[in-house]
Amino acid sequence: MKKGFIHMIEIVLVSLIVIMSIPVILYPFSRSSEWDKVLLYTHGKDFISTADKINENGESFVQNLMEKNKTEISNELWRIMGIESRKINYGIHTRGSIKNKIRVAFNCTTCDVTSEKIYIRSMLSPAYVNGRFVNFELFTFSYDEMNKYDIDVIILTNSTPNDDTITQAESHIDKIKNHLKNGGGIIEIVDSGLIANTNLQTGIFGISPGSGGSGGNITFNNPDDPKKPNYEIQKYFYGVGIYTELNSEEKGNFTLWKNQKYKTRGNNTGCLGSVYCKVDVDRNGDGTFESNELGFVEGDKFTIKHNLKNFYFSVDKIDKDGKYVSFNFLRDEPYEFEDFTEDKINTLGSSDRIILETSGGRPAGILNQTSGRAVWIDAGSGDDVGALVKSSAIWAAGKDWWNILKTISGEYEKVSYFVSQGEDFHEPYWIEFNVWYIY
Amino acid sequence: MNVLKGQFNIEYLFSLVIFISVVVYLSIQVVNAIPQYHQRSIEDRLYSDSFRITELLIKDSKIGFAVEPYKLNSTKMKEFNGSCISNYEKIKEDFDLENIRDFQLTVFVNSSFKISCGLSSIPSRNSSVTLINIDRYASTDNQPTKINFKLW
Repeated sequence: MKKGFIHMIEIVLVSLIVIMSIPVILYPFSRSSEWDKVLLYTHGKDFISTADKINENGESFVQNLMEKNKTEISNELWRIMGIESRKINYGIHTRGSIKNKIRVAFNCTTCDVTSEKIYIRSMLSPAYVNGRFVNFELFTFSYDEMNKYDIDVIILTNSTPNDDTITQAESHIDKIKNHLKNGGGIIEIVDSGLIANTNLQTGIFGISPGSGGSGGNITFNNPDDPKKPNYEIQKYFYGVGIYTELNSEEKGNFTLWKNQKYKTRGNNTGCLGSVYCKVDVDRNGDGTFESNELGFVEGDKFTIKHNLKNFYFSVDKIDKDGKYVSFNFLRDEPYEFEDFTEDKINTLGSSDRIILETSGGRPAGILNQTSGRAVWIDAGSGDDVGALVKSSAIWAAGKDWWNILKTISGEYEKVSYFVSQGEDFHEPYWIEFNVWYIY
Repeated sequence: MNVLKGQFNIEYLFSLVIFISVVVYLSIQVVNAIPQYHQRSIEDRLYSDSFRITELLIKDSKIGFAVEPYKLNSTKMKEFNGSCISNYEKIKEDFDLENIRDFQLTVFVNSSFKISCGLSSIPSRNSSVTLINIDRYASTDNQPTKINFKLW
């Protein structure tokens, strides 16, 4: 073997040894400790697990977390963390639970903003769901500066004079698609007779004008199968219910089946102090309160007869100051709407997207998830249709949100905690508790 | 002209110097690293023992204070404290701690002192003894509870 070849092998071997030795020589035997991270994670897990063991009225603090505002959550967590709160900060993110505050935006260029807002507000009053209020924050927005708004749901209507929300949407379809792609939702409350064959209707809502079908009472298509997309909105409907404001004389009314008005009023007879703990409901709609229409407390069931059927309701929440009352629709007799459809709407794709329809096969509400969460509802009136619109907005808004959002500094540890609760309907969700050292 | 040649040539001497330098350098690194590694291993051992013991305290109903994980019982705490004061070595045995280890356990319920057990004096910061101090959290009778555990 030639001498030169041996030298070459030596050079290659030495080079390899030198290259492999460099890290050892430059960073000799150093190893960072991971115990700080373990301790931080353990603290996060301890705080959230402890909060889950602190009971309030039979439910844990964590189960009631969605019912708390930021200050209440912070106070309780500071109480658990004690002196540790000086060096640890946190943020709480929820995955899988409906949002407490839903930001609903409408674009109104030629229409009267006040009238439009009043119309939308008539459908999106607060909802008392699973022991907490869901509030809808209404505001106008501009498509040109869409990124500056924090929008959960865009709402399109066609019910006030010079209403141009639909035409504006049609001209900005790409921006709407982008909004949906980024996790937002859109709902459209428009008469079926006014649905045109446009890119907005076919591409976003997956619907087109149709013919045939007939009217009749409207019922939910899928009350049983949670795997299908049209299940969830009807589930929310039975939890959202009817929210009625009571005036200074503690009186109010609600409307069902298009134009049937029912009076209600707060009642503090026999209640502790001067708080209102009962409510009277004019169940037969004759304008007076008979003896069997008095003194319902929270949790009580009552019936209202319509078209020879007894529909069941329950008292969900009574304001102790007599300012409002909230009722729930109950499933004992599946709820039937009076027909508020006009024309047949075709569903492009699966019929599992039809939320509810008339007995004659005319859809009254259709959802679409092709580009994001989009819902079309035929325009109607009354508190039952309002509950349907609110349920659709809740669904369209999505279920990921921050209970407490704080800027995270540096490295953080994420503790995931599973919670299952629900007073009106079962609501399983994950709480993500993010913790980090302040310094 | 006669040229004088040494026993070792210059390449050999150069290689020898480099070899000895590398060996000396690595030996110094190893000598320096061993105490660090040793210290780390003690810390690791103490941390893992501390976590193991505090996990038992807040989650186990036999040795610990728990009725269920994170839900503690004040009667169990008092009983534990009694045993700890009367027989500290037995508690160390229950915790599966080595003889050379010592601990101090303090519990606060809703920020008020509840129990304290173990050795009353802890090694000072200047001493060569490694001390691990961890806090754990749980609830007792619906009140937030802090468990401070020191192990050395």
